[in-house]
Amino acid sequence: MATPQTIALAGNPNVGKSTLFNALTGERQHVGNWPGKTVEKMAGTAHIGGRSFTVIDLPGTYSLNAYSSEEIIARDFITNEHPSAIVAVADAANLERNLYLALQVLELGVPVVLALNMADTARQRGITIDAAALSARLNGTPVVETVGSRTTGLDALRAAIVAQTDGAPHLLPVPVDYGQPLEGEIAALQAQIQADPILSYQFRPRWLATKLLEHDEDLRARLAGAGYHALIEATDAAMERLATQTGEDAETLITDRRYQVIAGLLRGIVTRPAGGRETRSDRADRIVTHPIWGVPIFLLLMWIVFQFTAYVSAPFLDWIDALVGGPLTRWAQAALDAVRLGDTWLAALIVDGVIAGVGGVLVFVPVLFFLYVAVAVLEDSGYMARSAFVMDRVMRSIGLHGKSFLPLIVGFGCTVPAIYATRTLEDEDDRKLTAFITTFMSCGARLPVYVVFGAAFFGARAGNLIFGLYLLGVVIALLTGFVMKRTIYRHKAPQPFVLELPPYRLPNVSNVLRQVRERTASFVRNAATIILAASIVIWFLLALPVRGEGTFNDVSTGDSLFGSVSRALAPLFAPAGFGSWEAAGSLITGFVAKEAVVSTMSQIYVEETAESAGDGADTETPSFGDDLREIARSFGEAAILTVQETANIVPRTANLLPLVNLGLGDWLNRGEDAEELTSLQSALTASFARTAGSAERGKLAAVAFNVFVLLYVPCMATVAAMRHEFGGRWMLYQATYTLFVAWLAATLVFQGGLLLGIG
Amino acid sequence: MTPMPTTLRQVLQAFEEARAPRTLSQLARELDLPPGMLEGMIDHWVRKGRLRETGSGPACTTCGRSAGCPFIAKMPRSFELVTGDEDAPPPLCGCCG
Repeated sequence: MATPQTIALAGNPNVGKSTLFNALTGERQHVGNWPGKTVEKMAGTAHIGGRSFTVIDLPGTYSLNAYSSEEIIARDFITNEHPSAIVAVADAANLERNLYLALQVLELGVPVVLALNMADTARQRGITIDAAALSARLNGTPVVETVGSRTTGLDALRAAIVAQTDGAPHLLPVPVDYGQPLEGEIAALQAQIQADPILSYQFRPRWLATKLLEHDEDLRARLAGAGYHALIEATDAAMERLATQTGEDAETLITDRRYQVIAGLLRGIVTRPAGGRETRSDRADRIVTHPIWGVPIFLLLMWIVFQFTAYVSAPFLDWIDALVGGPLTRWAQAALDAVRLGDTWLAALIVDGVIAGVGGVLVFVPVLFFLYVAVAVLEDSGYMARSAFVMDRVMRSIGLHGKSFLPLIVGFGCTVPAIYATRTLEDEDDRKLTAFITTFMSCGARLPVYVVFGAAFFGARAGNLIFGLYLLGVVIALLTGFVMKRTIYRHKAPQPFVLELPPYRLPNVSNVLRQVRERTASFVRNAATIILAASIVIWFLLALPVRGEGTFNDVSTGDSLFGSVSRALAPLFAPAGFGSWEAAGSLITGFVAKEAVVSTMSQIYVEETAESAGDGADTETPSFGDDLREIARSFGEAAILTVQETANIVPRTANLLPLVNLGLGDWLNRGEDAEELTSLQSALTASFARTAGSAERGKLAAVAFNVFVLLYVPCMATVAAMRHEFGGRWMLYQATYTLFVAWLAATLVFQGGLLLGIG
Repeated sequence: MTPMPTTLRQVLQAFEEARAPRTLSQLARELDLPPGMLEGMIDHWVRKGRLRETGSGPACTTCGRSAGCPFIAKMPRSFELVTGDEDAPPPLCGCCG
């Protein structure tokens, strides 16, 4: 039986090479590694026209230069193994880039079949390619259009492979004409190589001469090892002459000439739709990234995101809150009663500490879930990448690098990775300054605080409060940057950049869900670890009496250790309108993690409410079955309301326009005022009104409190990251600054509001 | 006679003379080049050390996730000129040993 001939597939990454390989070889494949490398080697067998071929899937590369191990593998295989033919796989929609590798393969003098893969995608984009004309320009090299995923064009590809490997002599493509003075130097080196029988047997002399002039380190090292020092010296001299004559290094001259040849090859052969090279994404970008409209569009989208988050998440937030505060707490108490622990401090720790604390945070999973859905949709559609471009003008106007906005966007999710993301900035001052202002971007952990207060104090306008807080964070960040760029860090013109924007596309559902799952899981993990630990510690501090006549676990929260420490700090916040020990205490634990603000409030306020309502209130406890029925009924209701609120986003957005007042859907006939406050929200409105002096002042104090939460140190992990990246001194400076700005801004909000006659 | 600048040189000059950021598509239109070809040319200058490619940056690893930070995905690649007066790149964080 005849030895199978070998053919290899070469191509850029992500051009569908492996799909074609699978289509050619079917199940007849084996996987290994290239000798001495960790790069995977795929080999298989194809039976074409009664002949057997060993098919090798070469690693995806952009060229055959020695820049990576993949490129060296691909090049060595072709030069050392002498395959019968190479199938150069190119993305038909991006031929100008892909032909660079194909041209280098053709220069090796091996029979080639050019497969224009993903031809369907190219057609969808209105790109047409005259394959026959291209084949003619390549001196008869077969050019075949294929769609590997649908096995379209495979028969033509197989026929071309058979034709190129039939043993008959084939015309080689016209070599690339590099023009003078390059051609003169190539010819001189070529003659020197041809004079050596070993070298000229091993390599195609013209190809080796070109590679040496490209300063191919791998080949130079090999030739030096084999004693070809004269050839290397001649190459160096040629390179020097070229640089002197042209002002350009030989590698750049050769690369440039190859691209010119590609442009010539494709001239008149590739046609694009009317509008030339401007794609639909480009046309959309004329509006979306417009110097004037870009920023308002960005703000509008952010407004919609926060309206969506606040309204769509509300039904399930209420459902989980009722579940945690009702059945779950009752079942836990019943289980503890059953094992005779119901009246012990352990039961109080579990019910009032763990369930109230962690449950109080988990209630906000729907809020984060819908925020991450909105953000993931923007990311996957390609918009988020554009926001950095749009905001660049704003950033540059204050002297910051446009790329600083990328860490700031990351900061909307979590501040810690945002601090590390500043490493993309090369200038140390830019890095420090960007990290410094990143902490003002409102991270996901702060959102539950805004949602609790928004619903409690502003009802249907909660979305506006949330949007306003996010916007305030951005404004304070930019103002801080502006001042620091003109004081501590003298203005240095930022380096403009070129951004690769992905095309717009419909968001992929699985991509969106994966991102939402990962980010929400991160929030839940935090609740299950840091917040659980914080809740337990807070419970102990709330159970330890330091005043009055209480005993452990039988003490008024205000007389506890936690209450006393918080009370000592409370006067500091009096100018901002929230000088109660409860608010001060929540802010202290918020230093650990912002989710702890809500968990602490759940522990303090809800316990206080229970104390004042009296523990022994005679209410009939529902049966387990009643609980389950109610959970199912309220779940269905929450699902309907979620769909309703999603649909309501359209009229809510349209109502921003003057003279537009569309009605909102109310599918369950609940009316606008039917929104019930949770026990925490009721306690908050009462407490803030009491501390500030009236209900209206309480609202003002609530806004001031949220402003403080937005601006002060995000969490312990952020402080640690700041210290790790910039040192302890910088960390202290940053933490002190944020505390001061937070206090000042909160006080200005409250006192300014009073001056304006609000409350 | 000064030789005509190569197209590759014109790409580099576009970075050197830039006053404001641009998208890859915008630059391709300005230079009358197909975006794919421009990408290849930018890669050439990145390899030569004249341009720098920057992406989203390393993840922080503080949350112990080995699969990368879920908050840092999906940021676009960008390219900028290497001017030679930048600070040394920051050392890796070392949290992961």
